[in-house]
Amino acid sequence: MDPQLSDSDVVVTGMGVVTPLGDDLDSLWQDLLAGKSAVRYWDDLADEGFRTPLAARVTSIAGEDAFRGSRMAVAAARHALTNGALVPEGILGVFAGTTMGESIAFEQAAAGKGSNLSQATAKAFPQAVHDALGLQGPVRAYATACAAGNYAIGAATQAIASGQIDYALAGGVEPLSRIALAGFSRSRAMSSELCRPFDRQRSGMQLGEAAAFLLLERKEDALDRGARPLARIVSLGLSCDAYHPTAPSPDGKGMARAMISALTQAGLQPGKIDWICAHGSGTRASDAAEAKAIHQVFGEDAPAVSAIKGALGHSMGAATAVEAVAAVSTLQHQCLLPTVNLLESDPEFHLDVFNRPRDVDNLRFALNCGYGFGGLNSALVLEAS
Amino acid sequence: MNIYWQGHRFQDDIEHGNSQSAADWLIKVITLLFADDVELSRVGLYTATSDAAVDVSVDFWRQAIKEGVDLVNPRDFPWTLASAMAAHAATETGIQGPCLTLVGGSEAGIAVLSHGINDLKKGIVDLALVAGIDPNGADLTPKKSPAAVIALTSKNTTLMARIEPGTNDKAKMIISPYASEPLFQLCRARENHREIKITAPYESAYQVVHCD
Repeated sequence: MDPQLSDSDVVVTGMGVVTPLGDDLDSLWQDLLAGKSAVRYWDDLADEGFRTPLAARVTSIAGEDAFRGSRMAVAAARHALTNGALVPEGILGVFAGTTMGESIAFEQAAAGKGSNLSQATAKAFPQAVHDALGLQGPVRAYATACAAGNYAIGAATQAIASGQIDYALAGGVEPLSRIALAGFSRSRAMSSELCRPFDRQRSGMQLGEAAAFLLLERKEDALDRGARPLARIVSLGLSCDAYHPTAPSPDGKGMARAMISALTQAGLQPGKIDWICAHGSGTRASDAAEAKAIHQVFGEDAPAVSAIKGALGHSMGAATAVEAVAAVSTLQHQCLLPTVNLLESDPEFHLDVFNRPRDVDNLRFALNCGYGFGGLNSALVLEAS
Repeated sequence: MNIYWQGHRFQDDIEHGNSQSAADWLIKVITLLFADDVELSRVGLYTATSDAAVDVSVDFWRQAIKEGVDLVNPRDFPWTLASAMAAHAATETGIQGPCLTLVGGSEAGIAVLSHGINDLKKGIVDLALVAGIDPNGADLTPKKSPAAVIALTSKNTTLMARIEPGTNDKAKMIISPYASEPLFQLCRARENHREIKITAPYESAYQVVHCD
């Protein structure tokens, strides 16, 4: 079956990131290809009592205050507009995903330092972008745990396709959260070793921080203004495990439902997907469930799989947005990203994961997957332009 | 496609400022609104809130300061996420379709209505539960936190009213810090048999059409 073509195809025409491996798209791509990791030991986190003081932190944004996430968001959004060479005229919506908002503001409030918490919720990030860039359009904050970036990108695509808005900056934002550091550590999800997604010896994850935005618009509008479409956003599938507050359903069925929904909406048979940008958190349970889900959808002939959280840490609500940027770059370069830190693929998974870049021909459809606490599952189909 | 209301509830007994109390209330209402023959993978939960999890996040870190970061209660951690209310409600009621949370004011309430209606029209769900909950919104309805849930379906099983997208012309612009406000107004209009058309800045407009 051929993919359905929308009357108003929504395409990516610009991307901007703020990541622990830097804020430049080309150098980020090269670092990911080279298998670099930004995860390191931090003395301040060790001094504060964190048992696993490993994290991937952004160094380009100074200061750990109640507005750190907003500054990261504005910087990434500016990069995306510049990358897309767009001077906004018309309605430009800002759609941002995150897990909890300006976490540092909540930490300060707990310490008795005054913060206006109504300005620190998840909406703080898209609102900061909207205000700083002087935009006209809706401001939406998707608080859907570690899958939030995909939700925001899918919602923005829908808003553009329906004609509600002309452009969107869609992505995710997450400053490093000590609340999350403590919570994941106590939930036994953190590793004192390197994060090795889908590896036989994987033992957990490290947290990161990031902001990433994609500039989206209708294809015909992009071509009219001379912009080059980088990729098409095809469909977003969502589901809920209805299983546990933190653990994924071990049978992977919820994750599979999200993938199937995305494929169904796109009018694609599973065999059309050429590559999966996996959630790949590196925890025993999540990677095992994801592997099962992939086989439920794709059978034994599953497409190649990559995961980049070993390079950038898990930036929670920003993760799927950063991974969407990586997926668009992969489609552009026709080269599959390696899974950083992978030593030996878990033989029980029977997945095609690899630790060296792989050049490919005719890479057309990618599936960007992300899952979050509460069993929130997402799968985003992207197509090469 | 016509979109029908199966029912709604609002303003019950949520403990002010308590996200977990709000989630418990949501579970109770969802259970009341479920049709007997509903297929759980075809049910979506679309929640808007102005302040989900702020209270828990602050309490969680207060505990970390007092007892040490390695001694906080891990069971409290999931509740620090703004998605916790909806995710908990979906888990407890078995909802397996889309489950999303928007954080914001009245515009978020309108936006989740759009999400629910769009997913019904695209055939992704058969039942869209659209909720607005503001655990800290006591000044909207004194002493109790406001909340509203609307169950939308394309099946005309218990015909009460239709909800239709409308033009923004003559729509009542709702600008409120509370996500539940537009859903509240729709519920009140239906109960009082009033026609109403509402919108929020840059969001779609919706109107109630009474059928009985």
